[in-house]
Amino acid sequence: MLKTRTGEWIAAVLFVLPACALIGAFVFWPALVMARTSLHRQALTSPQVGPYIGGDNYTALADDPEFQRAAGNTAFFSVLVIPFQTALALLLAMWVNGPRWSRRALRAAVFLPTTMSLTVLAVLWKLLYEPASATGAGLFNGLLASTGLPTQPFLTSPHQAMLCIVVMSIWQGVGFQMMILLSGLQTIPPQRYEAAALDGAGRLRGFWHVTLPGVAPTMVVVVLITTIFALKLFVQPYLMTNGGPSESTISVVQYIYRAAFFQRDLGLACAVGLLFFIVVTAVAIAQRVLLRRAETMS
Amino acid sequence: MQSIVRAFNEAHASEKKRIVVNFFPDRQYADKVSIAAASSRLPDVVDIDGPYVGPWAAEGLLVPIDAYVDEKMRADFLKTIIEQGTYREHLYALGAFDSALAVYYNRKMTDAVGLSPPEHVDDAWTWEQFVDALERVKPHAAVAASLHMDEPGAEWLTYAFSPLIWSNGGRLIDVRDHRVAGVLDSPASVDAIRKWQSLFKRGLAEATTTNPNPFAAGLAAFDWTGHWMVPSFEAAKGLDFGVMPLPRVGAKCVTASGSWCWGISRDCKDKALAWEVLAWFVSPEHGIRPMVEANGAVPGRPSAFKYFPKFKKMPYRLFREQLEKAGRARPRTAVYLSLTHAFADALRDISVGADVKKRLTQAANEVQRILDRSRH
Repeated sequence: MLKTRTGEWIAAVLFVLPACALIGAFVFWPALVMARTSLHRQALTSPQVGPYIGGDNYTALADDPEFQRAAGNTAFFSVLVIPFQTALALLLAMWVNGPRWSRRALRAAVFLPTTMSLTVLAVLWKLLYEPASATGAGLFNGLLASTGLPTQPFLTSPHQAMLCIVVMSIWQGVGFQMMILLSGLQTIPPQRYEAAALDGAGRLRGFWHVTLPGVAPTMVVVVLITTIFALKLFVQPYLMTNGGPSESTISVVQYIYRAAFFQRDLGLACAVGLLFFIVVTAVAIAQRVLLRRAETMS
Repeated sequence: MQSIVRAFNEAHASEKKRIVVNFFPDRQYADKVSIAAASSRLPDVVDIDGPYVGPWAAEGLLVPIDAYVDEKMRADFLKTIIEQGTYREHLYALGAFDSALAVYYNRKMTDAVGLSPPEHVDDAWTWEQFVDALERVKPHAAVAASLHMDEPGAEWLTYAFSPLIWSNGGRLIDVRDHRVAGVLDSPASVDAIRKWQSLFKRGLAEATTTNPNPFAAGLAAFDWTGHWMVPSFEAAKGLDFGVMPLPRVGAKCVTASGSWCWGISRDCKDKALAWEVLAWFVSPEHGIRPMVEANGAVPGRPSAFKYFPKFKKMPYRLFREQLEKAGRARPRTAVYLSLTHAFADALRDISVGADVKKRLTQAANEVQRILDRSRH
């Protein structure tokens, strides 16, 4: 008896070991090195570790208006993208839920952008958003002009640029969330809807009392993934606006890139990287706890 | 490049000397070299985009090459090439070729309004003459001047429009005193950039555009651009174009310069051999001749012009004259990358209406903060 226990233990450890080793080597070890580097004055191209400077890199961030803008922009982007993208994904999932071929075709259409490279899509959307000028115009402005509506500066306006990126990002990401929610929807037994209908519940009450509680566990996953994706915003501002105009779209991850490769300051980049890691982890844990609680309550 | 290397390897086969080429592809070249540096794995001889000479020399990635370059050799390089390769009085890099920035005009349009643009640097138009010319051709073109504001990234804007500040007696940075605040936003700089902004305000140039080459398409009367666009102009059907020096904002015409150049890395074990390779790359016969034939740039050494008779004729004659008389290299400083991005971001905002003084001061303070931090 005891022997098998030990055997099982050894087997268990052996099974877990490769995963632990990989996570250790590629997540925890770099995180530790990053934490150490963030306390040093470390030039990007120097193979030696620079002098220890304590929390200087962190205090420098506190006085850096560019970093504050980056943090603000990322928060603004997340606050818009997370609720809108999740709600839209749920609506789409309910819409395309069904065996008919038209529904399935629609599903494929909404999912398609997710399968494409974000880099390619960012460049394409940049072209779509191009402002109108005497020598040419982007598609959106061409449409606006042809319908007699005023043309818009889109990515060249500090007030519109981030919203443009939000719209593009929701379009690109919503298909993935929709697919996950769709699988959640399909786990809800149809009998529940029949029972609700017998009790006299309309479509809206059916949604509130059957659909929402039914997809709640899936929703936890969706919100979590969307949050992490949103906080990691980089490709869109990097390629579409280069952080501008007037730094209205620079994101935290882009700031890390600039700190490392423009300022050549690896210590500063690591400080932001570590803060970012902590914030993302904290938000993810908090969300999980809150949503789990809501789920058990419902 | 491959053929230059092959020729070197063939010529040195008996001495058992061989070049092995490492290509770091795509536009992240500089980032990849920086990462190679962090793990002490730099190639012996590195290709450098001109503006990176400052940061890479400051970080110790490159070693000075003054000892290998005697007076006679030094005198046989364009002064812009020497300037580009020099950081704090030491020479770190030499280039086989240089770039040329000029203003092109559509002859049909300029003839229609009776303009005769200058052909020599000394006759460069004043800014007022330039603006007046743009106003006159404006009715004949979709846009009077193309400034390529669609170019992504920072370097085009810094390269193309710093000469206005220089011509007006201003600077981007004071490298000796480590000052950007009060320099990038000095009255001379602000005045020059206000003049530049007026082109957009008067509707003479487009701050935002989708068209990368309106001049070749016959839509623009003037084009403020680099030598690399000439082949597309020559290929454009029905386009009769001329070229003139940049207009001067202040007393003197100043134009941009700079391109890829070669340096020796700190990780190189045999510096003398590396120099032999570098000297081959920039030698008129073995390096410059094949390279310039392939890329169409301006030869980096006066003695190499003998292989290119076209530099006796326009527009190439002006390219050479400009570099020799009015060319200026971008500043060599450890914080160049932050400087160029801050300046270019400011120019972009200014082109769509931002207040010049306020926006340049914001950029200057941003770079000053980084500069101060890097020196503590």
